Amino acid sequence: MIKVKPFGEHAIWVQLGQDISPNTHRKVMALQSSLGPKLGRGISYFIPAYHSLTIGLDITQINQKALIDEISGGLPTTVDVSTNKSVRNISVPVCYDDTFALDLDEISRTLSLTKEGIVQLHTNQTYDVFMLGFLPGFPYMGTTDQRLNIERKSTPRLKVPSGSVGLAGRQTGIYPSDAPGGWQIIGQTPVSIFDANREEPFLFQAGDRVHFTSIGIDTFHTIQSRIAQGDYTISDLIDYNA
Amino acid sequence: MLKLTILKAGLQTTLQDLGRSGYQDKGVPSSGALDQLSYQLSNTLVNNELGTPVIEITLMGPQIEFSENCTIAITGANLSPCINGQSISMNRAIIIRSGDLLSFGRPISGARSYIAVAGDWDIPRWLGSSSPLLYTSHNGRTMGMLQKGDQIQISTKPLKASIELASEDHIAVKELEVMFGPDFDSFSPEAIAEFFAQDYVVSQDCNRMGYRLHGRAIDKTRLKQMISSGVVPGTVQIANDGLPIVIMRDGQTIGGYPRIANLTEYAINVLAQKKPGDGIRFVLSYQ
Repeated sequence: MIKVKPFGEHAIWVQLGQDISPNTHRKVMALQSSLGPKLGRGISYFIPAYHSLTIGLDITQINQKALIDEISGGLPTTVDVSTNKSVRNISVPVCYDDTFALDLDEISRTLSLTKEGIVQLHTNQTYDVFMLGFLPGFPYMGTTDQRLNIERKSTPRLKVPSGSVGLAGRQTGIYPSDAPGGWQIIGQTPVSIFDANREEPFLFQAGDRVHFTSIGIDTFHTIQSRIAQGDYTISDLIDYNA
Repeated sequence: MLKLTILKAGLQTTLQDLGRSGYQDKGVPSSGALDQLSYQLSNTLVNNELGTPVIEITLMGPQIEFSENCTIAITGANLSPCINGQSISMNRAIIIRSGDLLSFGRPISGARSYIAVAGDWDIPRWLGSSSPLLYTSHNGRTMGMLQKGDQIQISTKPLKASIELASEDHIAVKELEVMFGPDFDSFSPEAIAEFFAQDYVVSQDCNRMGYRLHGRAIDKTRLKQMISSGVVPGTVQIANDGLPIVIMRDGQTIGGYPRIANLTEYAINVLAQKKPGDGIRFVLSYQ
């Protein structure tokens, strides 16, 4: 079911489905893509999410009602997923060693899986980045294997270390900075997925496909040294699928 | 080059401007002066370009020393501004002399006040704005609040002419105009009626990210599980306790609670001047 509604005076909200699935999400990305030419010419931002697209307006350049009518009139052509841009594949190194896997012991009991089993399931598939939110650069990725379905911690941590990789429900995510949080932490990446000083501050964007690779603690520290020496190019992690 | 030196930080003193747009899809809030109306007025009073940074102060103001002559204007909340201990007028251009000390006293009305200084502010911008990412830690530090000892450099401009305003009407307003939110039709008619009938009170849990309100819980029985969606400044969500949370300019860009209403831009500026204990009501805006 598709709905197009005003969202405050300066935005429009479009619902494109009723579930969390790659299929519904592709429609969100297709609509965002089709509206791309209006960025800077009346549209000032997008917020893609699981099943919806929020469209931020510059009302000095565009009329909210007119754009609502235009979007409503343009569907379903604009959500034709065959027009989607090429997808980026991103490979994220993660160390699942006990040093970083703060909740792995406990959740292995809850899920009745061994720690190795959890790591296997986590690294065994590719995930879709549905949206970024909660913190600048925090990717909500899914959908994890049903056997990894785990609730958030009942008492959130006051501080989750930056780079921590976690599970919540059927989602997996990575903390882009030190932050309070309730996700179940199973490892850490040495890579800065958000760096305000970098020319491209954010590693992820909605629509990316991500998989995780397990690295040992030595490799973790090697990568960290290379990053500190300026000898690590984050864009090397991205494979542009032509 | 004028140097402003922060001698005392105050409760929450930050650089702010129009904010940054275009990065909400990365989870970056728009930020910017919480009361955009008072902010833009402050720059107008000193003939600054739209978008020039200002200092936003909250309830307890800072102490600031000026190294050279300049022209300033103070708008927004009346937090009893003084120069060298003497009370000064708000909402007009004020001449400052080298060595003058700006300080604040008792909050009389409103919550946030804006200090504009005529000239070009020598401030680094991130993604187009001087506003800090206040609620995000970066390399272990928050991009932050102004602290004691901080200095701001400004290339001053002389003022040719100015205007004066008697007062800013929006500070005393108690009604927040709203439009229906995207999840409005998930609420029962009884819940909607209760939402508009109440005198809500601003709780202690209010800041640049959002305002939680106290009041009677509204009926949520018709609601189903919400799939997380975008939220924008002014979005009014109803939390699990049946009480409203209003997203403000530093707020998260994704929310999972049902969005019953959205404040108009004017109402966001009205709410930016409210503090814990203040009463507000929602009214439907005629659009």
